[in-house]
Amino acid sequence: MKPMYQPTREQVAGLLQHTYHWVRAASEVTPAASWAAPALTVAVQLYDAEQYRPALGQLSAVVSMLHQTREAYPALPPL
Amino acid sequence: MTTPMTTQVPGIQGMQQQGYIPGFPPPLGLEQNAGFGQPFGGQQSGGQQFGGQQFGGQPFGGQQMQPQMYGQLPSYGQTQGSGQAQGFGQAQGSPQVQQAVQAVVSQLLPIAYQVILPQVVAITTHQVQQHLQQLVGWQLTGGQQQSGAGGFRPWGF
Repeated sequence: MKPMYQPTREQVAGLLQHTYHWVRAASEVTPAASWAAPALTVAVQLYDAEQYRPALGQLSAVVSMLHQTREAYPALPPL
Repeated sequence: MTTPMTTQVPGIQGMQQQGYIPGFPPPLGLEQNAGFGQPFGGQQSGGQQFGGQQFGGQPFGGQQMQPQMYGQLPSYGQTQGSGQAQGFGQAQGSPQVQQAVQAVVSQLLPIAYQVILPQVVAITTHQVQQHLQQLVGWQLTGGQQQSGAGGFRPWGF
């Protein structure tokens, strides 16, 4: 049985930073990207609580939202 | 008297041709790995490193490719390639509404999982135990339903 993947703190922090910078830049292009900010905040809160796997799951949901945003606004670069 | 200065960032066109847009971080291929198919790793060409550990070789978000736990958003009329919202009624047509719904859901899901769901499970478990005890007692008494003090009424009826 394979062990569950446990992300490290640094990995989650890096992904959060990357997503945050992307959302911040995208919000200047289109306000629709700012919808992801509250959900990203939840991911940060989970990270602060040292819940790295839930934070990663929440971040995955944020990326899904941003993916749909990119479908509506193709000018946005990929994450 | 100040002279207006026009800033010119050299090589913007070149950077854009390489896929880098000013203001945005270089792409990591997160969309490809966050539940859209392939395992994480081997996608990044830039070799991004965070805290001395390079991303790669590990699935993003766990063993499953789908977003799990708080990432499992219900599909309230996900937009298809044609851009038309499907499912969940006809009211949701614009991407903005869908994004708003997803934003609200993504905020509520963690709370639901962490706070509401355990309480619901605890209450339900307790009620199920009570009903089971009543049912077993009712079975042991031969299923006799009697009114009054000596009677046993399963499920409170």
